[in-house]
Amino acid sequence: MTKPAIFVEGLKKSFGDVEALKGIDFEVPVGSIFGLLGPNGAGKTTAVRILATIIKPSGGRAEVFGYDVDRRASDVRMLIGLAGQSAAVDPNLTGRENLKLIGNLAQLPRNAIDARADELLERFQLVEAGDRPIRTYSGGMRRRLDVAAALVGKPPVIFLDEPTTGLDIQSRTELWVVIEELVAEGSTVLLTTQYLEEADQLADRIAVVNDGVVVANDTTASLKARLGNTVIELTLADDVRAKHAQNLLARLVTDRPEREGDKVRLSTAQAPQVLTQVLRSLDANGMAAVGITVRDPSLDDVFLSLTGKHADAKEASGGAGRPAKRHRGRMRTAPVEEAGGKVDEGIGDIEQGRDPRIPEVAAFDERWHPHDEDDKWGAEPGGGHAPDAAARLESLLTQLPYRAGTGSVEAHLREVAEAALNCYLDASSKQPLDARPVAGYFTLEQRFGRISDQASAEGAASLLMGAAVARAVALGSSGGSVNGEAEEFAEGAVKILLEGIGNSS
Amino acid sequence: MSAVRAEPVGIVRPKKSGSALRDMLAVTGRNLTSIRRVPQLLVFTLIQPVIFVVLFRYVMGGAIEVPGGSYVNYLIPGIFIQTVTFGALQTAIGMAADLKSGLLERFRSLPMSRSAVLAGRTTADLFRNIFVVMLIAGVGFLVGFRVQTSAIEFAAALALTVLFSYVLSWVFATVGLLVGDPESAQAAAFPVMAPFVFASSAFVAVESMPDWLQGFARHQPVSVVASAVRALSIGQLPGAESTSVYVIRALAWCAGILLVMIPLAVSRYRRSI
Repeated sequence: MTKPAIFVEGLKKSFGDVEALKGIDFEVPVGSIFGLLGPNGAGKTTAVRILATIIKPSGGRAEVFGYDVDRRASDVRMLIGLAGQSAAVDPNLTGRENLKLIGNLAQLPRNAIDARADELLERFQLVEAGDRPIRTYSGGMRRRLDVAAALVGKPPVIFLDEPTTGLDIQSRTELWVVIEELVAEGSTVLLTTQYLEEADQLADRIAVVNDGVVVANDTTASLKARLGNTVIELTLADDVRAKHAQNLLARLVTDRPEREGDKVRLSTAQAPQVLTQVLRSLDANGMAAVGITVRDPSLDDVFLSLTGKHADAKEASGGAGRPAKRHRGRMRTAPVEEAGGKVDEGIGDIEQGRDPRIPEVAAFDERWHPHDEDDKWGAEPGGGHAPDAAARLESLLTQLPYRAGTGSVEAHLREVAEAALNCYLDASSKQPLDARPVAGYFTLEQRFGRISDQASAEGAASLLMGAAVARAVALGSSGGSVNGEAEEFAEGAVKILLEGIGNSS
Repeated sequence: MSAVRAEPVGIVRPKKSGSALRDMLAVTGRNLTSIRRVPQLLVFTLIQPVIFVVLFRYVMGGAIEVPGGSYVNYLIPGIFIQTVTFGALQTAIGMAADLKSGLLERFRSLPMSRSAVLAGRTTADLFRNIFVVMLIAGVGFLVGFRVQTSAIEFAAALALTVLFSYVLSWVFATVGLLVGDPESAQAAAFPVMAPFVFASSAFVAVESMPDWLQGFARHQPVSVVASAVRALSIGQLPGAESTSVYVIRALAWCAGILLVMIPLAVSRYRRSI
């Protein structure tokens, strides 16, 4: 069995009467990223400070490459680098001077220090800023230098204590890339974070820490599978309506919806279906949401499901002295206009093919429905199968050209919209997606019956765009290719849609 | 399992630990650069002693009678000591700032000598104080101070001043670590310093004080060192001890304080984070 780079067993730490760590265990294999996830005051930083030999444990043991952090602290220090909230750089020194200082103190050979500083400045895109005092740096640059400083001595184990807290999205993503590179080079990284997304993005394995205890220790995939439900939050016009909605919607979900002022929160594992039902139900009762948020499980939800209490509750008693922060998961918010006309509940009969196939449609079909074996719609490259929602959307879109100019096109479009929304929601549980499609759905939903106008066309276009992204994700695309593929698909689909609208009016 | 883990993994072998001197020099260099980068801080720390010189030399000096007759000659050696005493506050502030910012945490995670941070801080402040004392001596000469002894004795006076500043920087480095916050360090240090600086022979003759205060005022370290520096600068005053008595007492105080404070500061540093 391979021995772990970091080994922690029954680790305890008390500060006076406060037990910061109540006996935690975890192991970090060599060459992996391990995430310690938890709110402020959970004990993450305490664990890192013990491992970094800054403070002594009160009980249990912790080892880095087999060296006890307490008894063999000076050996451990030769093997580790520390960056983040518990380590800093000198604001009056330049970036280069800071790196050289750390190089000296990390006992690098004197003649290697300059080269190492240059190398790190280059790697962290700080060459130009290298000779400016740190106090002139932006938050992101400063954090990059901080991480660079941790790497000066080329330590095999790196502790990153909330390395991206307070950074903007771009700086955060930049740091993520660097961290991933470190591990690719064979380093072992212990990362603490308050962000579920960050742990999810980087860590091979996550230990969720709360109140000095590890409440879960698992791979990111299985941890996520265990997490709670998707939360649908509706904002109603006022408290009275919200209360009414709360009662009305209670039958749609197993747990009674929560209400907070004019907001109603539903928790469900079947977000696509429930969301559709919720909107229909509201509409049928003459109500409309003025705002809607669909939210994946957030860190707060993790704690709720793992510990039965809100992560924020800890902060109040934690006495960390920091302002309480609420960290949400990915938010997808869509403003909703006041509901328009009455929704047509009936879905028309499906009539079979009346031709006139317009050239755009034919081209679209050629591109997206090649009649050969590796049909993009049917088969997922990864060997799995495309979700039902994607398949249904495909089949509905295929029929759309035949509906153009017929009386049933509106009903058909409605089906398309629903299928697209389902497809979108399916995919968005896999990776964060733009919120516009949801807004598009609502615009469309409200305009049924008057489908020919511009707003509904835009709503439909926006929805189809989202559905297209969703479809690309469902079919196993990732990264940059998703957008390209989706745009191409949506363009074609929107053309068909507009043709359909044009013909029907 | 635990038997296996008892031996280090072996794929990674720690490098050899570094030398305390190299670490100390690295930290000293860092602190000196820091001082150079914030010149306004140094300027403001110099303004205060200049105000004291002007205040005592021209405003109050006329009303103060001292043995030996010339108040400016009496005053300037006292100003030396007052300057380095109040200046030691900078050591406390710097140490507290490093502690607060997390820089000391990073240092503690590095394979460096445990005493290097304190040694580097106090050594950098030693250089700063040499610079400050030279400047104040220049100001002294400008307002009419004249050495009454030999150049060698005056050099010894300046050296003793700098030595005392070094001693104080160990005291205030400890204060900085204890307080752990630059603003609090500033607030906490003044009430501690004031009795030592004002109830001393720095500005007035101890004989002019009430009897109950004279015992403290005569023997406390700031007084003793101020008297020694004065004796080395302008010779033995009427009714005072001989120069060598003051110098021996001053050196004894310095040695005594260092013997107590260095271990105290280092142990505080080890526990302070």
